Amino acid sequence: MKVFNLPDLGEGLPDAQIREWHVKPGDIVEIDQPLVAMETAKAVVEVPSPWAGEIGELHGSVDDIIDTGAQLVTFKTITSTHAEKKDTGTVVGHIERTNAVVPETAQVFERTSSQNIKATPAVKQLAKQLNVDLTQITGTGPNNTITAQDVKQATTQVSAKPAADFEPLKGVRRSMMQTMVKSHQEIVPATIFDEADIAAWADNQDITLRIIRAITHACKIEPSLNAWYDSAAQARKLFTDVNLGLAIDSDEGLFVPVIEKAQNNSELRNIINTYKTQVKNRSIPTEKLSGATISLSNFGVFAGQFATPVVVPPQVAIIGIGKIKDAAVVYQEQIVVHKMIPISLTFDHRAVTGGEASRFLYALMQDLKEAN
Amino acid sequence: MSIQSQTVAEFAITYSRFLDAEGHPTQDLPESLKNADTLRKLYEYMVLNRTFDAKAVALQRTGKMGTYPSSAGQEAIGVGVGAAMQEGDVSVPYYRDHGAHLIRGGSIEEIYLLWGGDERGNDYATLKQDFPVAVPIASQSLHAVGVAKAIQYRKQSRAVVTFIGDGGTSEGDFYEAINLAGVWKLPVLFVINNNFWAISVPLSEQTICKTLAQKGIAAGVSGEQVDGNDVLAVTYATEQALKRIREGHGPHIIEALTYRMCDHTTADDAKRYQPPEEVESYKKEDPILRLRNYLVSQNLWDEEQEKTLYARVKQTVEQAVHAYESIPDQPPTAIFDYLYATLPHDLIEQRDILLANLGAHHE
Repeated sequence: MKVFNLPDLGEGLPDAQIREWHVKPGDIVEIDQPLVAMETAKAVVEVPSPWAGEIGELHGSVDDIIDTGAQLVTFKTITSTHAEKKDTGTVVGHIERTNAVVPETAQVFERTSSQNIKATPAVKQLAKQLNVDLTQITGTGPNNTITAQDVKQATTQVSAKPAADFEPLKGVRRSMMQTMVKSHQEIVPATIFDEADIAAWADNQDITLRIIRAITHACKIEPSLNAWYDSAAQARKLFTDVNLGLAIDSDEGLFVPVIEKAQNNSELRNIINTYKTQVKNRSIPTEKLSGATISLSNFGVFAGQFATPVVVPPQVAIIGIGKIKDAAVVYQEQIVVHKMIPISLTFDHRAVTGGEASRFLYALMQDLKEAN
Repeated sequence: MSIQSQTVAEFAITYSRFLDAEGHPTQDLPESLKNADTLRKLYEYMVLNRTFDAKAVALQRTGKMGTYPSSAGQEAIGVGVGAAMQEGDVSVPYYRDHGAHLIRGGSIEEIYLLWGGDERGNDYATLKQDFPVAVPIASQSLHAVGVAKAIQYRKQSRAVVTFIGDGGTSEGDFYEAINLAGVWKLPVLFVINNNFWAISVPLSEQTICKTLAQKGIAAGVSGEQVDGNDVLAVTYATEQALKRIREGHGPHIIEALTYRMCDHTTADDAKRYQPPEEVESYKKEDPILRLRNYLVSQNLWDEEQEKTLYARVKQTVEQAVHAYESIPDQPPTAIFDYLYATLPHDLIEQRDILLANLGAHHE
């Protein structure tokens, strides 16, 4: 038995897709007989048989994507083969190998200091005009060459500085800006709004915990919102565990620490309290700020019922909870006053369908309506 | 108002062939091509060229070789030019003329090694002065001019032959090379493999020149077109050109018209751009089929010889594959050993460190 692994069919291709098999298990093949047509990013190519023998197993069906180097065909028997590279029966002596990395050094010749400056004649001329000492500049060009831009920056920083009455974004606020820009550039958001009637709630319900429970329930019913989407690979990954990103506001900006396995966590209230304290004290560990599979933003502390919360990639959904208020609702054909929780659900429409989002929201509201 | 003017120069590009697509002679064959052994040798090397070439593609497809550029359908050019060259001539090749290397006495194994990423393939056992295959487009044209200058300087009666594709003739390097070859009257022949495709760019989008041979006119270099699928036309034109060149009459251009019956390289898919009807129409122009038809019509070839030839060629190729696959790896220190005549000090240090590490990890 011998396995033929998929070779790189182009120049550094990561995989190829099976288009058509020309052989089946049990077939006897000759060397160079076509085995399979594979489609790569650039071409459909016929892959010939490397050996003569009997086909044992085909490792994939039409349309399957096979990684370069992964199993393609297992031969049950081999009747003829060329010499393999490893079969060095004729080698005299032993080829030595090592994994050690030997540091590389450049040949250094003695130079005068002016020769050491890496800048084109035009840049040197510019430096002379602007009276800039090139030996004091660290180049940002290829191989640390000094560019014209470097020279100009050395004389004046105005272009990179905000106007006098502007303050530059820093720290958490700057981080928020970067996250929002990335989301805006990448995500295709759609938002659904609804209100959950919580008149049936028993006394002393912890609102945040009830919302988290409702979210984890909805994730179980409709897992496609508890997911990551890899836009480069155009692939999604659904999660069983709900690692909930909980948005916590601070004067400096937004923190979103992650509650791990929120679907099955008896310490929820303690964790949330700890996070709130840590956010206040700026002591939240960095590793708690990543890995969320879905997020919750409880934005309605002061005002605001509905919003279009922003999904942070690679997540595909965020639930926004607005300010709870008394509303006149129709209940059992009567107009009555009930407490209502306004819910805004934003999802990335590249990875989630409207139907999935709607089903998720329905499940969330059903759980939220329960008495306890 | 009419302006008086006179023609001060006139140019023409000729086209020649001896066999038509069916293998019928279109004119009397020159004496040098009446020899049965010569004709059979041309045929056998074209078959060898195509067979070793198909095997190279299969080796790439099974992960045993790197990217490879096939010369399917274009064997008459490499084989014909190589057959007309003398031992003392220098070949400065690109990558679709391996037939010249083979008929000049080079080995298949060397070609396999090269495309397998093993530099030992460039250390030719016999053709010591021939150049390695140039993969950058048109760089070889300038190298050829340099070699030709050396030959001229030494007052030797030798010729340099360099090959290039149709796309390559759009490069500045090519124009610079023919200009210098013309102005210095250098002993160099430029052979253009015009297969109508530069990867996916058709000739019609490459140039509006009616011929590529006429590009020589601006450099004062003579040029001609031949049927590049007629190995006899290629061989004869090359023989005549090299004779003149060795006698000191200066450079020449041969544009051989053929068709690329294959992908640009194994990393390409020509089906995506070559019109199928165009490919189909060139199948009947096949250079191997054409010469075989002629040989059979002259009673110089029969089924028995055909069978024997293919069996022999298959075995030759298999032996080359075996030699290629069983060549022992070079020691890691080889990366230092062929770079300099005298290794610089810090590379000696690095080599020593490597050796020490090899010792430490010796199993």
